[in-house]
Amino acid sequence: MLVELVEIVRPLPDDIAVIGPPLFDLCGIHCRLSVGETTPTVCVFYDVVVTATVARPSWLSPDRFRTTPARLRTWSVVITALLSVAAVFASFATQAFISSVDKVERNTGPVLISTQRLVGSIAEADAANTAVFLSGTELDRQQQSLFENAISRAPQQLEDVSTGIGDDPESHEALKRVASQLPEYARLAERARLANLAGDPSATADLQRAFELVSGPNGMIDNTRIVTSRTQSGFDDDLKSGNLEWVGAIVALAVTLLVLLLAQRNLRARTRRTFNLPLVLATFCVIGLGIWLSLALLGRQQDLQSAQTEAYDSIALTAKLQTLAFEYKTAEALSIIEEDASDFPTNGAAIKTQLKLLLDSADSDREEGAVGLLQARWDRYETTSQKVESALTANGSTAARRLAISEGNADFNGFNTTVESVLLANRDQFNDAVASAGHRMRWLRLGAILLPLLAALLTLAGYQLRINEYW
Amino acid sequence: MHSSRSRFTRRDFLAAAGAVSAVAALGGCGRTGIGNRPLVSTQQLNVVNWPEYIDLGTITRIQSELNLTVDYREVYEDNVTGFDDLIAPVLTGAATPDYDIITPTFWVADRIIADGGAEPLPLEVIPNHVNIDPAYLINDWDRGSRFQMPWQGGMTGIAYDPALVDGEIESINDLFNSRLAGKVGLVGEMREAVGLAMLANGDDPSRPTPRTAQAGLDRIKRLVEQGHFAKIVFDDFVGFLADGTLAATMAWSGQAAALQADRPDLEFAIPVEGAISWFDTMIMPRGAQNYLSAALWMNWMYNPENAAEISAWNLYVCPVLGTQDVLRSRGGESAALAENPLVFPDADTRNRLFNWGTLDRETERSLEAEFDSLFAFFE
Repeated sequence: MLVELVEIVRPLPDDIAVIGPPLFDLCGIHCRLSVGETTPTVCVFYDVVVTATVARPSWLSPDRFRTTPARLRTWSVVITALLSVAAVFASFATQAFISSVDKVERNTGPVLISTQRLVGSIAEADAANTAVFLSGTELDRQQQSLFENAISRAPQQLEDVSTGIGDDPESHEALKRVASQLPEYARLAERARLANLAGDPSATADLQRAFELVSGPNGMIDNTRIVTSRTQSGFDDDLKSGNLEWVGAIVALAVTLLVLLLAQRNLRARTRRTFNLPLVLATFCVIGLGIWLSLALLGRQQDLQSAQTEAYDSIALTAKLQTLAFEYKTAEALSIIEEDASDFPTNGAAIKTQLKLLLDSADSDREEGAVGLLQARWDRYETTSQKVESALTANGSTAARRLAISEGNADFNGFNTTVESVLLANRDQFNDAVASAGHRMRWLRLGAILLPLLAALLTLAGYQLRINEYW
Repeated sequence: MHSSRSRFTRRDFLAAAGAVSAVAALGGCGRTGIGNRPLVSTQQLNVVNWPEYIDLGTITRIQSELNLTVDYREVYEDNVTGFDDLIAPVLTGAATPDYDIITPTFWVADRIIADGGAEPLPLEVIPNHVNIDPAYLINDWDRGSRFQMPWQGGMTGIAYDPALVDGEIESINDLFNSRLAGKVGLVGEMREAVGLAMLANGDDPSRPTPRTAQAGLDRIKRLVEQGHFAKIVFDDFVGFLADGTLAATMAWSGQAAALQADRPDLEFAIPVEGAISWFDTMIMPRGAQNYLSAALWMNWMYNPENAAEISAWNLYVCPVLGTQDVLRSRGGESAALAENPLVFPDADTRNRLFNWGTLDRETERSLEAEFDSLFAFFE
């Protein structure tokens, strides 16, 4: 509605203000005109006659946009448009955050963990296999059972890794090699065991070939390292994912915020109202969304980095420790089989270093307690292993063999299962941290839409409150 | 003059803003906590255990040494009712646990852990965890004992009165021989009874399949129907064997060893096919009120000196490394106990023991139901 003030018949006294067409304030009385209506309107106190004509301008008339309500409406439309743009950017950023966390939760994380567990299973199978070989006719059922369990676990872990790595050809190739090496390894191990029982001298050669399939160049451990390294770099990318979208959203929100502040300044000047509550709240919505997005990004970074540094790095250290220990155990068994004490394992120091690193990386009393147990278990095994070495040097392989398959195996199992429990505890910690990152995003997706929508509604409402005053 | 159009007023606006800000505030929360459950000293502990594992003097000692008030209840009498009455209500959330430690057999512990019903062990206050015999650490359902600590182990073999069986019983097939019909006890735990039957069938109970387990159960069933078994027994086999009601029975090693102290003429045999080994666990239910006290109790139990006292009293298989050495160092009866293979099985004995493996839960439930139906024959 547009109203034009056509004529004021007599000069108005100083204390009579013309607020704006079609509103007159005569002697403190608001006078309102409708379209087509013509005054005179008389002020009884001052005897002033105001004559005005109210006309409807054409739709395209530039005059239409020159009036205060039209200007206010234009402001509200512009701000709403900006809020829509900000909502789109915020949604993109949220989506990017959620996708990266989902990827870590469903792909990168499980692949990293399954790969380490696969390495653990292969190494455990190898150590148990050599222990079974060592026990000869007095078949060590427990070690045989450990070997069979580890071999039967591995294909599932392989499958878990394979389904999680996506379309990375290099990782798939490496996994294919492991998938073909695993049954070959199991076949060689079984053949070596049976040949050993039959007193066939080819048994040791088969055992060596099986060992090569595990730890030799391009063996199963090497191939899993390729997968680990590729996935680790994917994890680093996931940590950075969403940062660009976040910048876009923050810029959009900042522009919107600026315009909102300008709008309020303009409104204050035009309407002489100190502040417009809906617009102030709309401003808080925009600021709130910006803070929420930033906190979500920071929190996600923090959670994923905590998953990486506090849990995954410990997983990697523990898995490395496990592999070193299995290599130690296998080397010990081979030296007994070959009756050569000079082949006795020499990587005890590396294991101690690894244990120290693990202790340094422990970030809670509980983790320190677990690593303390690990150290005690290793020390116990190492003491037994030294006795085995002494027996091998002094009394030959029979005494060493007996000690290795009784106390040695038991102590090693104690160490190995403790390693595994630490690995599982770190896996849980990793999953918790990733889940926490996911929880941060739980409401953000909705908030990224609702808060700008709410701000838009508030803006429209705020302007409408002012525009209403012109009717 | 007022417009007749409905107007969005400040009052409307404030009402709407209040509602939306409540939703927004709700949206702000949602992060779950990471980290360990804090250890808070309550100086109270509630323990549910099987009967006759600990003498009450030991409880008094624990209270004094750990400065705890211990509510000790021997109300866990078998795994089926124990699970139904004490554990299942906690697992389903129908009840909060009124105990901080419970001692179910390993396969029940497996279920509790799988269902997320166990608190992880606070290793920082259980340094004696390092004394768990590694043989108890290799279970696939709790590798390395993160959620439970073995409490006491045992073997289910054959106890018999040589005078009543005319000689020796060396195998499970001897126990199933018709010449003993009506004079044999059947242990009331499915995994042990069926496990022994599986061994008699030449199957491996540590790697059961639905087919081999069913074959074992069918064998038990046939014998029940033929009236081969006179009683279903738990730890009451002691009385039946002592008074001659039974000539031979599937029996738990601990009680058998205790009975032998009074009746050295009775025998306990690990059959040539093998025996079933099992162990009870100490487990903290999820939501246990006295988490720290429970951990301190567990740590106390894994001190070899304390474990030696307990083993000397209950004669079950001790899962605590170092206990045998403590007993040896004490000399006399203690040293003799250290050499008792029922309490400290040697390598040969261990190689003849079979721990029940895991079947899928559906199959296990079906086997349990079928086994439980046999109880009707003895009513």
